[in-house]
Amino acid sequence: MVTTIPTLLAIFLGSLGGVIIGALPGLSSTLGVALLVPFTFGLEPATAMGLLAGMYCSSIYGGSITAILINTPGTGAAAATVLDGYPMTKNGQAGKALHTAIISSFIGGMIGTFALLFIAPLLSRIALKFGPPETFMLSIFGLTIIASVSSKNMIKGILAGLLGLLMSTVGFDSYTGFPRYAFGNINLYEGITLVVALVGFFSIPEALTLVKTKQKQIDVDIFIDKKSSKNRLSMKEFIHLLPTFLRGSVTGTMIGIIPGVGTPVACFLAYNEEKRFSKYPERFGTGIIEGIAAPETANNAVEGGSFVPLLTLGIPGSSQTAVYLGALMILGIKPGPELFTAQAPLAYSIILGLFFANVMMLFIGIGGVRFFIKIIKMPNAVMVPVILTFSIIGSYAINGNIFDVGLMLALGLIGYLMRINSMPIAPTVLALILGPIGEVAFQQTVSITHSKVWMIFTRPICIVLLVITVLSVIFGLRKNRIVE
Amino acid sequence: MKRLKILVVMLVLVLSITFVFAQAQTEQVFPTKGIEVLVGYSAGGATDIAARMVAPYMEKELGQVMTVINKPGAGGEIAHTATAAATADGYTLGYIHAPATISITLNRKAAYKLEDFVIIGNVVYHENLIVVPPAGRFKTIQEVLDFAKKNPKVLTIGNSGAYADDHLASLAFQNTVGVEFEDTMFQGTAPSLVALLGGHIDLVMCNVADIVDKVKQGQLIVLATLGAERNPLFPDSPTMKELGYNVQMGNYTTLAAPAKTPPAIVKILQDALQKVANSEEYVAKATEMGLPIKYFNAEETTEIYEQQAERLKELWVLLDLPTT
Repeated sequence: MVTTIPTLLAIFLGSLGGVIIGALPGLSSTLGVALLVPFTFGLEPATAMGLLAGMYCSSIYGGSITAILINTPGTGAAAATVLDGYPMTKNGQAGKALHTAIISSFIGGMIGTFALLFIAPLLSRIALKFGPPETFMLSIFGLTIIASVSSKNMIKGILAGLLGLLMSTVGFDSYTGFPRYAFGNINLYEGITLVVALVGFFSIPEALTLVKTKQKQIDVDIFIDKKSSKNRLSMKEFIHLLPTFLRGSVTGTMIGIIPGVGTPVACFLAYNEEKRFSKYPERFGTGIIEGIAAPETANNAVEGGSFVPLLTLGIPGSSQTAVYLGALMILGIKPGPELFTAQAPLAYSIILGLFFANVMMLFIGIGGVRFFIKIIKMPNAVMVPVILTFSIIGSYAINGNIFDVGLMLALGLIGYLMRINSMPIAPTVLALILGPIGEVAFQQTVSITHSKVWMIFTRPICIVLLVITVLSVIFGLRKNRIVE
Repeated sequence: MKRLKILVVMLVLVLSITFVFAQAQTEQVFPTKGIEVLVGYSAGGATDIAARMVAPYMEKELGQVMTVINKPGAGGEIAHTATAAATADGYTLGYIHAPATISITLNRKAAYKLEDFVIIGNVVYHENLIVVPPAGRFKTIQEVLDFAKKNPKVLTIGNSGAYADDHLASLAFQNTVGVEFEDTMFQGTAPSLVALLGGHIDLVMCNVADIVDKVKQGQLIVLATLGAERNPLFPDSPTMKELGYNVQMGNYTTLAAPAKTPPAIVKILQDALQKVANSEEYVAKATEMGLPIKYFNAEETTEIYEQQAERLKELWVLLDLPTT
């Protein structure tokens, strides 16, 4: 069913489109999938699913290209990839960084899909155990990552994190419906859109810094020389990364199955775990392959995980799978407990579609490296306008709202001020991602425990999360002392 | 003289004929270019899916492209404001909702009023209902009511967001029936259903389309609907009206234009939507997609919105709901 010519062609076209959509800031994988849905009318179910699978997988990967090359994460999924991706480019290892990203994405995608294929019912039971209290504890644990992405100065890192938390309170209060800190401006009612903040915080400071710095004579040939060890991932490095791939995949799949947590969280968690397991945590953030491999494996592993609630319960756990659900219903496929029994061939063709989409992504990604890398050959005089143009178009495209462009530029200025004062930006972004998740989950927890919030410590998963949160803080403080 | 008279008569005739033709032509002149339809929610959402399904059929009737534009934000307010303020020439339309479009104006100082819209026709309607998992402790609505009357504020009921349609339905339900639930807010129906299936909350208030398949596959049961009569999809589930409680709540998705749009143009759009709604192909497509289409013509829909506005205003005062 999946291996017909039209289906393979559909997967190819979906993947190609996905890489482009993912790489362009502001065009998200959700939007990409949504845009393709009308094209699935009248297609064979397997072909339609292939088209969407290609788009979904590749758009998650695509975000890493601009993140690595020009410090602009095109999607939230690439927010953690910039941390080591762009430093690698600056070290002249852009080719290796891109190779690591595509190989990690492929492995993460495959492992996530295997999990979906073999242990979906088990995973779905775990997903159901995750209620608001567990999500709240998870977001608290997530905030401890601030310690590990704060680079050298913990105080500045915590300040940056608090700034992010403060910004995350802008917009509707989920319980009273009151628009907080919006100053009567309806454009702020739903808060600060993540990608607008990402583009502002990462690309604008980068563009301004490029304007300031005198162009170095980059030895262009290095980037084109295929044999150079700086441009590819060696077998030794690949073997070295195997445990990273495994850890990233597990993190990604597990976060994927929990509804409403999302890909960016998975990436930061994977990055953090990797740093914790590493023998040289101090080198994270300076441009090492583990720093790319962990988040990139995780974000593609999320895909397989996020299909678990969709296919077993018929309930989408992410915005991408919500769009997928719409497409499935148009095709007359009814996801739910019966999908794997009554409509088993369809269920397996969806999963096979994901496998093929990952393979296609690998080919396009590997083949594309030498084209993508030409971006950094651009002189600054061209690069800066290109970054600014993408940033402006991208922040407009998300909601079709010109206000977001102004907001992006304002955040860019804040990001620049932070950068010149050597305040890390990653904690701000992390807090901005986790703030709303944690806050909503906390309010729900208060509601379902009838204000007896301590009741959450009668729940096993919450206790486990509490323990690892405490350990994570202790670990963070100790490491920090060693570095000092 | 006679020739002159004949000439005058002929001239008048010719003029009047051209006038009639000209008028006919101005009517047929609309639309001469593409029409944009604003949707207040992201691509892939329920309203977006409905809008994109209707568009090609409207194109067939009107002979022009109909583009769906997503302007998400502020719970739909950004798109509503843009529709209300658009040039009233029939080339910018928008989807509005009852109760959401109305409740926004009660909840806060909105930049539009309900009177800023003229209604083309209603596209989607589905009533609210209360669901539980089949293995849970409640099998009938009566059991829920009995328990809740003895234990106020103990049962938790999930909804899709503060003061959105499902939450308002829950509040109206509690007020009419005389029970108190703990309302737990989720961001959309999907997460509330996961919490329900996981046993973290007791009940969920949602709409028909959210759960049809889940009821068919035995994941959920419908305890009661808030419709006017029993829904043929759930023949065994009573309406609250049957049980003697007059609480009817549902969700309308309606195509509208800016209020000042010329009546002739509004008429063309209304007629086109009516033709679409009556076409077998459209109905078949919607049924296949599981979209709860329910056409009401402009007069009927306008009346519904006026009634809803009245009732919501009462509810707001009665329950002392927040206004900013």
